Amino acid sequence: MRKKAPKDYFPVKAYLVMVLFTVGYALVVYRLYTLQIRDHQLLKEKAEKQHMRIVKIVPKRGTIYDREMRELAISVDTVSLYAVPPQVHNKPAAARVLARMTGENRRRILKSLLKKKQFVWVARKCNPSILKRLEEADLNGVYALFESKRFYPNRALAAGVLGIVGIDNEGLEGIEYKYDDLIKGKPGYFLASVDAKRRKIIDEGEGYIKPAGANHLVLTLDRVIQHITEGELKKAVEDNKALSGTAVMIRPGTGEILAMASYPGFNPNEFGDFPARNRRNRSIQVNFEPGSTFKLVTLAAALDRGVVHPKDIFFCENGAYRYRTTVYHDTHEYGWLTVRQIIQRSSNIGAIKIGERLDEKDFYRYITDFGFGAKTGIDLPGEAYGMVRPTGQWSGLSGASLSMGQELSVTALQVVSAVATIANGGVRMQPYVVSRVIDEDHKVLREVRPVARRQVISRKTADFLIRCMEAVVSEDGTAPDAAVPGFRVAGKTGTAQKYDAELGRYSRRKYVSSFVGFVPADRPEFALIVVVNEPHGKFYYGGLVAAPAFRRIAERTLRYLRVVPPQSPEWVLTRCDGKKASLRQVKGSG
Amino acid sequence: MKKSFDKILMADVLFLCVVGIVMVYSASAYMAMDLYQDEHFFLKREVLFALVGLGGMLVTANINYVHLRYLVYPLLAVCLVLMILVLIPGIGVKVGGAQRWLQIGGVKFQPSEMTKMGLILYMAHSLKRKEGKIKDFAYGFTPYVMILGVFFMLILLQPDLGTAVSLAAVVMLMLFMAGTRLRYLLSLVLLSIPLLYVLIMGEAYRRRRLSAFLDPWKDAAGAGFQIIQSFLAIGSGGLTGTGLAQGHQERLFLPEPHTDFIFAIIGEELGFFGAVVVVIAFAILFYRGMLISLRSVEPFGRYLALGLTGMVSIQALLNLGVVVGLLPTKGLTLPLVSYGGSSLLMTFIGVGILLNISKWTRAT
Repeated sequence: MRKKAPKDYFPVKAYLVMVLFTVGYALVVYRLYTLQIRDHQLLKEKAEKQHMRIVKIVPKRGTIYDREMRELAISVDTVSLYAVPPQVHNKPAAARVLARMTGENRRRILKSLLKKKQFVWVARKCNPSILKRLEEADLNGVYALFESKRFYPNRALAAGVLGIVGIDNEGLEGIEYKYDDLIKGKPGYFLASVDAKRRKIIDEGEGYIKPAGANHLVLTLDRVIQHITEGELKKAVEDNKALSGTAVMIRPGTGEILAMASYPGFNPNEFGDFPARNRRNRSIQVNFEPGSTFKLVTLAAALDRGVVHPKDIFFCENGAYRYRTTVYHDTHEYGWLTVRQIIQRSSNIGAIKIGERLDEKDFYRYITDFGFGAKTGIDLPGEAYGMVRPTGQWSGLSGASLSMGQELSVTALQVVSAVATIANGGVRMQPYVVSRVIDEDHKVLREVRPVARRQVISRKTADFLIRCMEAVVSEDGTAPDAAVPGFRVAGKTGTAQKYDAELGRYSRRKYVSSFVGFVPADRPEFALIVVVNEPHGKFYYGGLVAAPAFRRIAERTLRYLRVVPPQSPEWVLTRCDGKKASLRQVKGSG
Repeated sequence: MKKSFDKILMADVLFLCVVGIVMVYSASAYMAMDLYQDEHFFLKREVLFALVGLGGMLVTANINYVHLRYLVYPLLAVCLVLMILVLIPGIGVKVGGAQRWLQIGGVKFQPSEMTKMGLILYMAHSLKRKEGKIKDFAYGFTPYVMILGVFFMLILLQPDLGTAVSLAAVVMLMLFMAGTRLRYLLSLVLLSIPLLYVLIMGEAYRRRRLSAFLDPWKDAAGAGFQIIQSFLAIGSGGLTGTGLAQGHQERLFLPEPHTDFIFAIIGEELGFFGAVVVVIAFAILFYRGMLISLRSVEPFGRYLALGLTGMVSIQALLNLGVVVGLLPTKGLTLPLVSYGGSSLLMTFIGVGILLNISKWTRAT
């Protein structure tokens, strides 16, 4: 029995194995059912999500032009590199290659490559020549895309007005910030079907949304005048060893800003290299006490209210005037002065006496009507209000202080706007810097029309003020240096002591020197203010520090604008001769 | 005695081979374009391998399989030598961290593919000779375990866990069918569990693969990437699939779309229907192979058919299991379908032998 062949279990086992395998195949089919039928929708969506990637097409930021359509800010094409970290094989080696390629820090690149992300930036906004080097390097998981970058071809020119943009082309300051929505454009999108290497493989026809064209801006600024103004401002600040300075030029008849300069400035292409304070637009963002230039407002109010007559004369107390609790002084000892002489020589005592005749509420109303203590409403961000106390907060001395330009703070734009009001026959115009918004095809979308804010004083009052201001520029005035040969110049100096918070009184060494005026006095082309902050040179009087800069800017601007001096053919002759000596004679005859 | 070979098996195999060629092309074209600027790069090679394989199949199908017994020991010796040679740095060719290939002239081949064949032949031959004494521990069990152990370790050293496991599985299947005591086999399995544990937990990438298998979504961008991409491919195929070359996943999302994960592309492009047809084709291959084994007139043919069928089927089932997420990833190709010369050639040769055995079966 034992010797007999044992029963052959092979077939039984074979069937058992076949059943087992059948179970295996059935399990596979069951899994296929769950994946392909039960969870089909879910998995399909997940797969599509990784296949279809919304690719954002960043629009080119619109150009900013000056009034003559010369470019102030443009957009240039650059290449940015990004990586899909899971696809990068040898990360340290890749980081080394990329660091050499881009000039970026190797460790920073490696750190981002080691992130558990599907997308990291390697380097933003590189020169397009990097594309070729990227191709040569043949790195896995590193890709390039086009991005536009803001570029300011004139570097620091008008930088404080134009502002800056961030790495994602978002406007951060200045016009770039204020008009961001208009010039940034709408990004386009397209659904790109991409593989794991994020390569586009479906043409752009599918699900393609064109980036909406960014609009362009045309400014009221003139590149040449801006250049002149910045150059002369810089010279004035440096010559007088001052801390800083600002200058604004405005067209009195329209409110258009022709130039707006701050010094020291910055290059917006590399704004990170400059201290943040250099980025301030000092014309509108820095407050200062105006000093004597404000006497124009005092006189304007008194004349317009009729409490002072142009023919009135005032006794200026021979230089020392006790008013209530304080004694006020003049720089020179004056006796009797006409209203005009008070302005011409900038008598503090005279100004106080003019102010005394004004009712506090009337004075305050004129101050605010001229635009002080409030934003001018210029289309630039970060404008300061300045500070004017309402009458309720005035002390017994406030009227006197205000009469000579103390106890309030102003911006350079507020002062030049007030003086432009006088130049414009008493009508204050709304200052603005953007004159047109145009679309991609340069079709005008928005045209800014000059807006008259208010008739602040009568034309008659204005005309008399202008005559007073012309006297300032004469040989007997405080600013003969502001005279432009051949033209009638109207202006006013300002020399304000800075309030020293440490000493608790006005400083004897820190001044704000300014000159504000307009040319030609009878038919003003522009009003201009030059403010020099803390001059530490030989002089600190506005007439000596700011007036020469005013003259040079005015002179060069008039020449650039081809404004011919009225009734003086000699001017033309001298221009042809090109001799400076003869200019004096013209002045004498005019 | 039947005069003709199993035509159903042959048709089934040819069908799988054709599916393989089409899918290799569909799955690799994009990648081939990317790597070699030639979308036909893998297709041309796969067709060439298939032709060579078909030739090999025709040859073995027409050689009486009993003559193969003369080849058993020389082949085993050659396999042993090659398996050692492949591990020697400078001789074996390393691809992606694994030293699995030998290069002769311009042709690269995997000795482990040949080893499967060699070991199956040896097992079949030896089991036939030891019929009746197979239940003996020292005589009918130990020698096989030792030989398997040697080759198992050699394959592991490459390393190629997938092939090692499938080889061990086929040897165990043959021993089980030949009548080895179940308790020996079970204790062998139990004993190998600590070994497998060490093997898996000792290698960071295997550990990751295991954890990715257990919860692929946990690290979708890392360890779970491959299996999730496989799910997404299969899942987005739905009932009818996206159509040939219309799938997205092979476009470099799914690593190795034309080799280990070709079934995922089948699932995506041919859908549930197509994938089930392929599974059924493998099931038919298995059933026909088992029938040949069952109907074989003598033990050598019976065991040889069993071994060859088992080898192809186990590997297929393991691969399918991995791709649909039933098993952890281990790097096995789908026989007849995946791209790969050595595997295709040896599978065809094995099928040729099966076909030859089928000529000598009794009718039921």
